[in-house]
Amino acid sequence: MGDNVHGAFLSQKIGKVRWKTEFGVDAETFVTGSWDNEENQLILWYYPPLSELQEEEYLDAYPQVVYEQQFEGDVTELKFVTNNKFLVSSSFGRVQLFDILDRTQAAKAKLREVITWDTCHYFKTGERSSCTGIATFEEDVATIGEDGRINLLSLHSERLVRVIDEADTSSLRCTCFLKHNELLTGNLRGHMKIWDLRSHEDKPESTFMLSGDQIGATCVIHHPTQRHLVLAGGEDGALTVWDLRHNTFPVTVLTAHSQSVSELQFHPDRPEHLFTCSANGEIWHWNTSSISRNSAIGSASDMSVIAGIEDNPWLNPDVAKNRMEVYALMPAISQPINSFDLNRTRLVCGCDNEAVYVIKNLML
Amino acid sequence: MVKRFSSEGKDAKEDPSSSSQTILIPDELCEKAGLTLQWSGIGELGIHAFKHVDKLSIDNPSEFAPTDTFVHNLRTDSILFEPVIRKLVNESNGTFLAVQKLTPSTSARSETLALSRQYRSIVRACIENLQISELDKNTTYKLTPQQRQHYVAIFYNIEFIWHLCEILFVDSVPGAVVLPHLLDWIRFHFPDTERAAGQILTGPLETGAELRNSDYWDVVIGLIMQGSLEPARALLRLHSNADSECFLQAESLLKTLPVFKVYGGLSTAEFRTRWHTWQTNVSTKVESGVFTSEKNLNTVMKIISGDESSVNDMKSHCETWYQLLVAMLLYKEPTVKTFELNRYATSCMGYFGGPERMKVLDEIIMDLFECNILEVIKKLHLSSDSGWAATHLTNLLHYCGRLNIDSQAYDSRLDENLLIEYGCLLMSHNSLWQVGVTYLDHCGPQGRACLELLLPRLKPGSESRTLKIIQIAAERDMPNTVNSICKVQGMRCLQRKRIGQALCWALKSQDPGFATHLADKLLLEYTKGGTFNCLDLLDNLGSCMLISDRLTFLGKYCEFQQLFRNGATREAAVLLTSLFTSKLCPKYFTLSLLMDSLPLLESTDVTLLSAEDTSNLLSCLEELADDCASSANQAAVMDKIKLIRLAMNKNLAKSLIFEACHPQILD
Repeated sequence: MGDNVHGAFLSQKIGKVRWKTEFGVDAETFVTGSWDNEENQLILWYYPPLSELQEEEYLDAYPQVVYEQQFEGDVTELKFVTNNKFLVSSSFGRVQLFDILDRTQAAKAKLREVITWDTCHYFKTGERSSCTGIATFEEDVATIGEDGRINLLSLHSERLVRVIDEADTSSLRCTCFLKHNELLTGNLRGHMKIWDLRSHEDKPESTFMLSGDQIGATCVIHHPTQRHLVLAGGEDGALTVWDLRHNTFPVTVLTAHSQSVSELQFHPDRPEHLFTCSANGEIWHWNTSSISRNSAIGSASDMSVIAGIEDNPWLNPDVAKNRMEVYALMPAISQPINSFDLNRTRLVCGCDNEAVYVIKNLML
Repeated sequence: MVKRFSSEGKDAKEDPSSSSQTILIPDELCEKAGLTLQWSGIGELGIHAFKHVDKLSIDNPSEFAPTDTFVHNLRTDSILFEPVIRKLVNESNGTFLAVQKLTPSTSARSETLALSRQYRSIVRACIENLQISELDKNTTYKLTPQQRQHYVAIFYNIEFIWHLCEILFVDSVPGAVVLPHLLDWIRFHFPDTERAAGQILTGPLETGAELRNSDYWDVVIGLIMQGSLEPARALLRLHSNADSECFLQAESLLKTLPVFKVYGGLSTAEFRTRWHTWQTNVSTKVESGVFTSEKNLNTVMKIISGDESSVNDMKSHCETWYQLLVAMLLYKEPTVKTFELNRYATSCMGYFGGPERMKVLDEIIMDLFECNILEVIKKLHLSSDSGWAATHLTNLLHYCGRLNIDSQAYDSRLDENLLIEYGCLLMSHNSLWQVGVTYLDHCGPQGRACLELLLPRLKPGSESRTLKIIQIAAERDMPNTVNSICKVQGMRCLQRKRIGQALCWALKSQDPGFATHLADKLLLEYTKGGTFNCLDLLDNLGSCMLISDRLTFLGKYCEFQQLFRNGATREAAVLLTSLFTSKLCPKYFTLSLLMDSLPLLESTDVTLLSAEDTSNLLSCLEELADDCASSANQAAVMDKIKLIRLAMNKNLAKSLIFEACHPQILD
């Protein structure tokens, strides 16, 4: 590992990792959730940002465990909703809202449970089903599960706002909000469905396929500024791009990793950078800024603008294929990288080799 | 109720002969009736009360009934599963995989040495973690002080043995002169003397140190024996009589002591001559009684003169025979070769009570000096670290080309057997199974066979876990394993009444039988309720439906319904006729399918179903009618058949007339 990668071993496989959201400053806290252990945990970590330390000290600063909390079942998703509240879902079909109490509120930083939605996901037999994903739009929350159910929650109420019982006959694997009233879900067979939440009918507005080969969708996101641009990762490691303004046929399919894409994320402040991690232990940085810049320079007189050709590189298949700069952020590890999160120029990722790595100084 | 209790393996070091262990099952019924056991997962046994019954037993209700029965799950525990030590398991896995990228070779390589050091630093980090885990108040699990001490001792010994092994077999020293490394080894593991010296030297730097520190001479002799001459001379200068003649003499002798350096530009022979000249000089001075005024200094000088009589003095300053060995070699045989160590080691051990007084650690070190790697591995394997050290060390030695015993005594590589054992142990753990897989990957065909057997036996958990298992199997090209895991998942979904998801797994497992079974279920449900419960899946089956005829029929039938709903009656009619002519329709569904043809038959558009199509349908209808006639109580069905027959006849009549009038349409 290079100088800019700091790792810490833990005694549990890490399912999800998220930075605590901070506005305008570097985050110094992140949360991890473990999976597949007999006793799982939510762990609060402290990792000081550069500004608080001298350069030399920073080189030796490793992430430190601040607080551990027992957790029932695998942690299947972690999502911050405000700067210190986050949602956690479990393989027991439970969704919980936690609050991080920092040192101003308690003697020691710790986690506090705010709301628990106990049985969000279950099978007809009464057996609990794993909750596989959470999508949020401001105060609205949608959860999906292996039972093919969609639950809509509000952060203010312990009741479920709405339940779509048989939303999918296969297990749902990934979800995101497209608009406040539009939810996108993807299932194990790569069926992508858009749900109009205003409609009272329990039917999707439209259905389209990830690929013709019934490859499962593992993760899905939209572009931070252009919400009609949707990217999904598949079990085969490919990235599929749609422009939902036009139609539901993929614009591009990029062959990326050799095994399933675990997560993908646009840099929240610099959307020309995309990051992906995969089950074969790779974590990649996709830089499209050179393509974006080129099209920006010639903007006014450029024929392509007049001709209406997309300047977003993801929607321009030829450009994307030929000129995308992709590089690995660290040497591939032998176990899956399950999750990562970005905060300004730092990235933290959690893996099945029971380690978390913080990668500093991302080249943005 | 399932009870679990761990079985701490008895310390094999104390009693290597008895490898068996008695475990008491706390169950009254078992006590009365007896018990039996079965494997229930990887490395786990299910134990329950059992009484053998044969043809001679009297057929009576059990004498124990009614009673509660329990299944007790018994599984192997290992210190590797301790949370603190899991870090070692995962970290060493990275190093292990780096080793596998090398090619076995006997030539000296910096890579193998670096990797060996990496292993050792991982073990040291583990010891450190064990020591600090006591102070760490954040952690939620706790080890008892005894456990912690026990674990530290285990890993300390491993590191000690590994270090020596590294010196002797991994790091090939030019000219096989090993003494400098052996000195490092002893200094590293017996740091007390240097620490004590440091304490004296950080005190007041004036003469009279021997009066201030009662252990002064012990420390000086200790340093001399470890070959740390610089601090020893510094200490001697602090002696009250440091200005006296004998101390000055000693100082000059110690200063001129020739030290063998591998890259010092001297050949061993040249060095020996110098050494002998120097040592003769020392001996002469000792014999002429230069140092007799200072008894302790005399001892020191006797030691460095290599005098036989000093051995007893040296022995009193050693805790172990190998400390004595290294000290003795230093002043007797500084250019000793690796293969000569054996002789000296045996004689040193003699001073410490001979082989009878040896513990396992001593035996292993002796075996190392004797270059008996096989014996070392055997003994390491019995130590209580669940084979971690034996596995990794053997594997490393294989890549250093040191296991030439391989080909003689064993059919396969020696390390492979150990790797399989270690890999299987990890596979039995709920969470470490992924690490286990990487070890089995490097065991050739046997490891692969193990994986094929073990992967489907991993406990089912959430779907994400299953998908990871499937991915591992798929990556290693094990289609049968993938299929069987998918089938199990399919059955679990079926039990949860998730037919759609079950079908999904059936398709993934490429199992036509299962797909047919599920398609039948869906069709029967439809004949009863009139709706399909997983239309979203059926509408998007694509080419997957070809896996079974029944599923093809189901898929096509859904397509027909979709067409009909969307008002594409002409296409719907074509599809319907092809469904009849292809003979894919199961018997129980023929009636439903015929009923679906009614609206088409009764349509005003005569051209939907031609005369030929209608006759085809009619023949299917008659077939069904024959079947129904033979079975009684089918009045309702016969009514329906009559209704359809009527519609068909009408349509047949209409289409015949139409076709006769418009022959050009048929062309």
